[in-house]
Order: sequence, then C-alpha cells, then structure tokens
Amino acid sequence: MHLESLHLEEFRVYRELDLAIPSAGLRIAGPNGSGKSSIVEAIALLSTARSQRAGSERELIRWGSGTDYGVPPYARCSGRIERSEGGTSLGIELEAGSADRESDDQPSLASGVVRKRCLVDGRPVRAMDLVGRLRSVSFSPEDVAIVSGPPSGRRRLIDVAIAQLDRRYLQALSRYGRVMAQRNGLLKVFARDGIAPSSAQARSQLMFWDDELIDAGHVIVGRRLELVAQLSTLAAVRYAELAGGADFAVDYSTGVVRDAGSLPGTPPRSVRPVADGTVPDDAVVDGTVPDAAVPNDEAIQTAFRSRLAERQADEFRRGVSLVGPHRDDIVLSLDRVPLGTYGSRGQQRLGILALKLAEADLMVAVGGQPPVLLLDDVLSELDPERGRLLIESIARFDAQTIVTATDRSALDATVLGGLPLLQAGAGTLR
Amino acid sequence: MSMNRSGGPVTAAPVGRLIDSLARLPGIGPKTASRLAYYLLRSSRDDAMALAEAIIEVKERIQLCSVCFNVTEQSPCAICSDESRDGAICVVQEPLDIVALERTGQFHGRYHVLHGAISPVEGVGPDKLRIRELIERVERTRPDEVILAMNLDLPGDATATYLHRLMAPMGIAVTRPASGLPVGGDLEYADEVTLGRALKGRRPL
Repeated sequence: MHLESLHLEEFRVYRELDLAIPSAGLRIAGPNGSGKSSIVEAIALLSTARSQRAGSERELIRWGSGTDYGVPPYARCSGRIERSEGGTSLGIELEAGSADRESDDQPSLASGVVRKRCLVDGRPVRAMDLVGRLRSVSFSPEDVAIVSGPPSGRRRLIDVAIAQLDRRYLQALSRYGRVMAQRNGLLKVFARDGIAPSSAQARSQLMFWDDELIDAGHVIVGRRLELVAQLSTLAAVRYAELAGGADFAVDYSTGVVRDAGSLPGTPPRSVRPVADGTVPDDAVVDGTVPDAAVPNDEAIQTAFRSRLAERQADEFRRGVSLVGPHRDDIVLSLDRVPLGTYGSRGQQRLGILALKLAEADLMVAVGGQPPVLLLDDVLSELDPERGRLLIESIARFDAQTIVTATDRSALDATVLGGLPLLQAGAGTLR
Repeated sequence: MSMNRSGGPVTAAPVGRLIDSLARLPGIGPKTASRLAYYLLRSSRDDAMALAEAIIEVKERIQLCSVCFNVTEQSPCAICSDESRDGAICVVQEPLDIVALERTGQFHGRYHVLHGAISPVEGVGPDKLRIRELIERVERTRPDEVILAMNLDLPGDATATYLHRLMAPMGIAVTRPASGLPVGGDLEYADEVTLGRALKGRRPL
C-alpha cells in the first residue's frame, strides 16, 4: 500500500499542488514555515481523517482562501493510493462556515465552524469509512509531549492506531462518545435535582444508557487491552534497539477491568517486530506472549457493570460518567518506573519513538502491509547515533517513507539518502 | 443610525422585518431570506395574501388532537374518530411520521405522537414528551398491540426502551418495526451496522 499522488488546494500554505510520490517515498527539505510539514500533515489527514497538528481544522485552510471567487474559505486534499487489489482515491474537503449560515454579528472567520467531507473514489462517505484505507504512522518532535501530557493524548495515540486496523473499533468509539454525552446529560440533571440512584425515575431512565455505554465501551476496552499488550511486546524490542537493554513496557491502565489476567479470556496473538524488511508470514515467536490474557467480551461487560454499580453514588453526586474507557490511561514505563513522571526528556523521547515504531510493526503484523511512514523533522532532536539507529529501523520496514528536514543534507549519509529530494518554499515544491 | 441585521439603512423597515422573520425559519439564512422577501415584494398581492392567510390559518385553526396529539383541525382528529380503524396504536416521534406510515397503507390502527424523543443532551426527558398521556391511553383502551415506530438513532432507541419497560408489566403486545436493508439496495453497499441488524432480525421464509 502506498500513496501515488497528492493533490492540495488552498491547504495551509499551498494554493495548489500536484505531487507524484514514488513508492519508496520522498525527502522534503526547507526552512521553517516553508510548508514541508503540511505535506506530511495532509497525508496523515487522508489516513486518519484528522490533523495531528492543528488545534482547529480552520488552520488547515489557507489564509485568504476563497476571497478571489467570493466563496467561503475552503481547502481540498486528495490522494490516490495504489494497492495490490487496485487503486482508490481518497479526499477530504473542508469548508469554513459560510456567512450565509450565521448571523452577521459573528464574523465567519473567527467562528471556526468547519464542515468536513470525506470522499472515497469521489463519493461522500463517513469518516469511519475513510480511516484505515491508507494506513500511516507519523513521527514528530512534538510527540514527546504525549508521554508526560494528559491521558487524553495517549488515548488518542492508541485510538488512532487501532482505528486504522479495526473499523469496528472506530464505530464503537464514536458510539461511545454519543452515549456518554447523553448519559452525562442525564446525570447532570440528577445531580442538579438531587435525585437518588435508587429512585424509580433514575433507574428507569439510566438503564438504557448504562447498557449502551457497556455495549460500546467493552469493545474499546477489549481492543485496547489486546493491542496495547501487543504494542508493549513490540515496543520493548524497539526500545532496546535504540537505547540498549532496559525493560520498556506499555500498559493499559483501565478502571473498567481490574486484574485483567485473572478473568476468562485468551492471550493476544503474539507478534514480532519487522527485522529484515520482510513481512512476518506468521506469528510464531518464542517468549513474546505477554502474561496477561485479554478477557473475553462477556467478562469485560460484567466487570464494567459492577464498576458502574460501585461508582454510582459518586456519579449521581458529580453528574458525570466516572467509569469507562474515556477515563483510562496508557502508561509508558522503563524498568517498571512510569516515564511520564520520572523519565528524563531523553528517555521519554526514546519511549515515544519505540511506541511509534511498534505501531508500524503492529500494522505489519495485523494489517499485513507496512504503513506509510511520515517523519516530520525527527532528526533535529536526536543525537547522531540515535538518529542513525532510528533511520535504519525505519528503512527496514521497506515502506513508503516521507521525511522532512530543515537541512537538505541531513539524510544524505543515511540509508534514506537515496530518496528523491524536493525543496519546499513559498507554497511550492520542486 | 440604526442598522438592522438584514441590509442596514438601505432596506425599508417593513422589508427588513420580513427578512428577519424569514431568516428565523429552519434552513434559511440571511441571503435566502432576502431573496424570498424580494420575491414576495414583487409577487402579486393575491399570492402574498394567500401565503399570509395560510400562515394565520394554521396558527388559528390547527390544534393538537386530544387523543393522539397529532396536528388537526378538529379534535379528536380524523384518524382517531375513524371507527373502521383497528385496535392497534403506533407511537411516533413527529406528526410527519404519520404521513410516511399512512403512505404505506400497511397500518390500519391509530397513532400517538410523542413530539420528540428522549435526549438528555438536549434536555428532553420523558416528562417533556406525551408519554404520560400514552400510558394513560394504553391503560384505558387496552390496544391489541403497541408499535414503537421511533427513529433508529440513540434518542429513538432510548425512547423505545423506556416505553417498553413502562408497558411490559401491563401485558400489552409491544413491537418495533423491523430494521434492515432498503428495498432495491445492493447488499455489498450496505453499511455493517444496518447489515448486522438485518441479519439479527432475519426470519424463516
């Protein structure tokens, strides 16, 4: 699977850009603000239907877009992917809230209302029907903040990875979000009116939302338990490659299932990292099966229900949902010490790189093909030796790789030095 | 100088008021509102009066049926007073749903309009809907069957589940319309939720 071409209109600094991308990938050099990161961002957007960088999707639309034609500001991003079973085109169109829809005292630029349309082969689809068609893993210096930042960032990282591999997961996530909003709406009213959990009114109204919360939530918890266990195995190997023998682990810390290993279930399918550029044909590896089993659906549902019962009084008092995958965390640790709180900046950086490499490994192991690898200025923050190790690990995936750097010679001496080089500047690439 | 929302001092005040009123309608923004207002300004007096009277008429003569809460000119409504209707009640969210169901010609009972669905996010609880009236009506008339024809989204599902729980102890047959594949649709293009529901609800031939 690789991206053959990328077409941008009114996207970030680009008025219009047509870019053919070789199957091996590209190097893009240019000073800060020249638009090299925007290329990587656009590809990630086609892959995950969201920007990892932009705080608001309005930022993706070129400043001044639409003014020539008197139309609302818009941006388009599309690409053609080539895969063994034939080509597909993916597209994302963004349109800033048009003046027609709003009252005049609210200027349309500041309001930040952006409509997003996802297209597959020119047909409008839901975001969940776009995600997973072009798998990607992106690396950026900002990733290190995820390790020590709030849990939401780590959940998002894991969610984006799993969603690319499992449509059902994305569906469950979106359903879970809607159910939780409704359930919180109800709990807020109960908290405001001082309604007791035992009252007939509370029970008859909450039961439906509890069932729905458990139904969507158990899918999320189950997949996270399974895939985080696999990621941990893979990331431990990757960390050791980059930094030498320390015991790196990634754990899913969930309030839904206590002591996951003791519940009835099955061990996750064992996986191994991409070592020599070949896709592992099967998963038989010795010593890589994590101890913890993944509990089966029923066990997770039962556990979820009893946790809800335990926290019910708190939920009624505080008026929000307190149990569920939205409260969980993914903890990176080194020799059992959490990296987020106790790790050095350097250890955190290596930890997130190991996790990202593990993500790519997982996509090979589970998805059968390497993802497109997007490296945005990653070498700038690594010492030369780690940089070399990272680039060599990346190259072994034999995946399409897009690398950006401020210094055009940065990659010359590496194994990725053979990738065609383009210079970014003033909204062009040449 | 006072500027109204729709055109400032260049627009005569009555036209501005018309534009503002039209812009409050769902799906109509300021630009469409202006276009409609100037269209009405140019149209014949008869056409414009007919529209004005039609609006006044619906506000003055239309009420909710005291039995089923559908919109009607006289209460009880035509469907509730129709003696040939059978003893089933179909519960719907909106009056427009009745139009769609009547078009099928497959249902010969009466209706009950809830005027919404349970959605805590929007502050709509059971007390904001015509649920108490439905339960009283079901207790009083003992229908052969209650069909819960809610929308197939979370608020619709929540409402149906809530109603089912209320009616289960009453010993009344409660059903929901089957959900599944659209007629004339290709199986391969069905999304997996729809297809999954269709498979779950399959029946012997």
